[in-house]
Order: sequence, then structure tokens, then C-alpha cells
Amino acid sequence: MNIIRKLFSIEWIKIRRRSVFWVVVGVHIMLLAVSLGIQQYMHAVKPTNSPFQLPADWMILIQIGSQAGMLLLLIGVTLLIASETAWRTQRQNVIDGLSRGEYFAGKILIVLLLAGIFWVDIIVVGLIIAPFGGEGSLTWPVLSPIAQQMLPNVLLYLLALGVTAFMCGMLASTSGAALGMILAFVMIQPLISGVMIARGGYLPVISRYLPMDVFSNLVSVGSYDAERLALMNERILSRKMPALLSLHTSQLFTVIYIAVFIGFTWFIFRKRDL
Amino acid sequence: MNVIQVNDLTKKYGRLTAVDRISFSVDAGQVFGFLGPNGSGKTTTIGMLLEIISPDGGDIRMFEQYDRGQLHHARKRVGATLETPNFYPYLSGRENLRVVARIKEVDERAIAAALDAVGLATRAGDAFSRYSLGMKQRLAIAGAMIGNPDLVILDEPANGLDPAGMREIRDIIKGLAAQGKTIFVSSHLLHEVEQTCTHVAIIKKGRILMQGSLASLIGGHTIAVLRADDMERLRTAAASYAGAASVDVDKEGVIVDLADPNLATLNEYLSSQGVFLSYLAPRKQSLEDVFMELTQGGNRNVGAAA
Repeated sequence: MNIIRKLFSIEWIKIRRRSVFWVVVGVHIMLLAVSLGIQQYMHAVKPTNSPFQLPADWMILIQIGSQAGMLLLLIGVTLLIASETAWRTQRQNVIDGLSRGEYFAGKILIVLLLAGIFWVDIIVVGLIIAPFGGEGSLTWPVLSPIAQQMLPNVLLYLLALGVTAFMCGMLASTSGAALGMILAFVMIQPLISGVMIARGGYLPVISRYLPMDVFSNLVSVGSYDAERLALMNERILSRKMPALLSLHTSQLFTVIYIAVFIGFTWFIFRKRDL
Repeated sequence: MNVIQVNDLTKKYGRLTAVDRISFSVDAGQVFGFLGPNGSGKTTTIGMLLEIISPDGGDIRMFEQYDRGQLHHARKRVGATLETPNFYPYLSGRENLRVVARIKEVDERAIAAALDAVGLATRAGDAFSRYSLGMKQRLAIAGAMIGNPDLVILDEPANGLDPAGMREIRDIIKGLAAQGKTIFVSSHLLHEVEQTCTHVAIIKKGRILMQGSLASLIGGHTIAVLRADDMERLRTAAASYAGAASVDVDKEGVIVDLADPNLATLNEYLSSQGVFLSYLAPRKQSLEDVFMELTQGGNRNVGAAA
């Protein structure tokens, strides 16, 4: 049996009955649908309000989808992975015959699966809700050039968040500890960033390269709109803060972070007693 | 065939040496009992056999394979449980075994057979979290049996079970042994081990104190229970007997551990010392006697028995 198929089938048996999996996916879809649905409703009751339209509003769709997905993806991946340590099924899987590498790869598949589902959610919910905006709210070709540029980066953003959660889920010994780690990671980083900016010197520049800053650049409007980026940077520079990273730099550093997080987790997991 | 061969296996946690250069071997077809008090290093040793705990020294061969890659391959011939039964609480017994079957790349028909073998077929659809401890233990054994492994390793399988549950587990182990499988079972329940195992090793504070066939361990010495009118004189006379390895007094009388099993010679000697017995009976030495003697700091000096 192909090893990827084998690992996926094992993981699928585990997560298909797991309520946390369906809850995070369901809530993500619901948040998207409700947010876009409200916009369509507002247009229906007052036509001067602009409806949600595709391809015009990809940026809005991606902003909502990625913001709604961030916490859900972090919580979902963390809980799905960390509970295996708490239940000691991680150990049992290895006893039953999975190598550590295979177990590790199985968990990476969960990250890919959830990030992929969230990514598809954004597109599919957008395509379903857009026609409710009335005639002309969904026109073809639906994938505008900016959407073609943004969508792969949205997937990269979701993968980066998933890998961050994967790292916390694999390293913590309980689900609670893993959730604490991931929430601390997300919440403490802006504080660190603020301190670095306040300290001056090279620190403000370095703060731009912190993981969550780099990841969020991938779904930032400024990264896809040169005019808006120039405006944002003008404001930032006037406050003597370093300019935002370019999209290419953000992509590069996101890939580096993903590799480092996976490598670090593997280094620890490979040596750790289960 | 040598199924497990362990040489100088060592595991340290900081300054604590949990397993201290232990060596033992298990041959095909044996039911090997790994005995020791709680915290003696049994689970750590099994964890190292199963590659979930990294040893700090020594080596492990399984099915005569030593190389790390080959060892991983050899472990595919092993079914095992470690400590508590570890399953997904929200999945049913059957689905938990489906995970095991996929890992072992075994046809799912093996699941029904394993559930039947441990008497869980009728409750296979219930969530694992709703199982009693006995059912969880049986499911763990079912999981270990999937894939028809040549070696079954069970860590404290009767832990926490009531007498009926213990009997069920004992019957399952005997059934596996009857199929010719090699079984490695750790326990601190001596009576259970005595009833199921052919060979034992006794471990204490990370060191193996004794190992060998059960018959050789408990049959190597003859215990005699003696009573006389003057018990103190009897004790002194028995202690001076050249064939006595040790002499103790308990509520039954004077207990003499004899290197020479001939009770008539002992009786003759005591008579010659002016001690006339009112009671003389051999007592079969139990595994518990051996275990207690060794683990409570007894002074019997015993080497590895064949």
C-alpha cells in the first residue's frame, strides 16, 4: 500500500469521528457564510449597500476567511495532535508498528488536510454566497489576476499556522498545555514586537521577521496593492518604524519558518521517550 | 530460536538508574514472566524492547535481528501492550482495532477474529470510553493479537482486574501459548505468573536477581516444616544441620530450606541431637517464596538457572 495512502487512511479513521474536527470546519464555514450573508442581506434591504461580488471582492473574502480561520485552525490542529500524547495513543501507534517517521508524517497530513479544507471553504463559500448578491454578483472568469496571486499565499498562510500548531501539539504533553503554548505564541508575539520597536536600533527591523508578522503579510491587503502598500509604508515610516516586508520576502521567510518548525519538532520527537 | 536477546541493557533518568545492565533471553514458545515490584524497571525494559524508550546502553536483538532497520522490521512480528490500554476513547472497540489493523497492514477480517478471541464481539460497537477496565484490557490484548504476531508482549495485563477478569486474561494467555506463540508478560501478580508462565526473570531496582525456568526456580530447594515440643532446641539443632541452607521460624513451625531433599536424613540427624519431631512435612516452594526472598533482601545466592 502506498505509504501516504496508508497514513491518510489511519488518520482519517481517527479524525472522522472527532468532534473537534467537525466543529472547527463547521464554525469556519458558518463564520464565512454569516459574514458574507450579512453583506448580501444588507444589499437586499438597501440596494445602495454594495453586495459581495466575485471576482471584485476576493480580497474581502480572503480577509474574512483567513481571519476567521486563524484561531480555529490553530485550535483544531493543536487538539487533534496533542490529544494523541495525552491518550498515549502516540506511543501505542509506534508499538503497533508505525515508525516515528511515519507517525510524524501522519500528523503532517492532518495539517495539510485541515489547511486544505479551510482553503477550499473560503473559495466554495464565496462562490456559493456571491450569486445571492443579485444579477452580476458572480461573473466569469471568477478568478481575477489578484485572486490567482492571493490564493496560493492564503494556502501558504494556513499551512504556516497549521505547522505552528503542529509543533505545539507535538511538543506538549497534554492538550491544555499545547493550547496554552499556541495561544501564548500568538498573543505574546505582538507584545514582543512592540517591545522590540520601542527599543529601537536593529530590533524594529528584526520584529518584522517574527513568525506571525511574516505569516500575516501573506494575507495582508497591502501585499497585493502597491498603492495601498506605499500609503501604509509612508505612514509607518513617518512614525520611524521599519517598512513592511515585501510579499516575496514574506513568502521566503514563511517557507523557512515552516521548515524550521517541522525540523525542530522532528529533532525533539525523534529523541524523546514516548 | 532466540526471540528476544537483551545484553547489558541500561536506562538512566538523571541520577536514577532505572534499568541497570540487565541481560536475559527468551526462546520461541516460552511464556516468559517478567516479575518485579512496582518501580523495579519492568515497564522501562519493555519500553526499550518496543523502541519507545531509548536505552542508554546495551543492545537488543529480536528474532535474531540487531541492526536498527532490521529490528524495526522484526518488531512487525510483535504485538504488545504497555501499561494501561491506550486507545481512542471516542472510537468504538472495532474502530480502534481498525486503526491497529491499518498500521499493521492486516486484512480487516482479523479484527472480528481478535474480538471473538477476547470475548468482545458483542460490545465491539461501543465506545472505548464506555468499556470496563477488564474490557479495556481484553481489547488491548485483541489489538496485540492482530496480525498474528509471533511474539506477544503484555505489560501487567491483569492489573486492576477482579478475580473473574484475571481468570479471563489467564485463559487468553494460555490460549495464545497453546497456539505456539512466544509470550512475554510482566506482572507483580505472582500467582498469575505461576499459573501461566514457563520461564521467569525477577527484577528489582533495575537489576535482574534471578531468571530461568519456573520449575528450576521453585523446585531447586526443598522446604521442610518441623515441629517439636521444644521449638527453640529444634531451631538450634536444625541450624546446625549441614544440609540446611537457611532456617526460619514462623507460625507453622521451624522452616528449613534444604539443599538435600532427603527428609529422612534430616530426621535422623535431629534424633541424634536429642530432638524428636512431632511434625515433619515437605512444603512446596512457591514462586512467591522465591520472589519475597529475593525482593525483600533475602540472602539466597542464586545464579541464572537453565
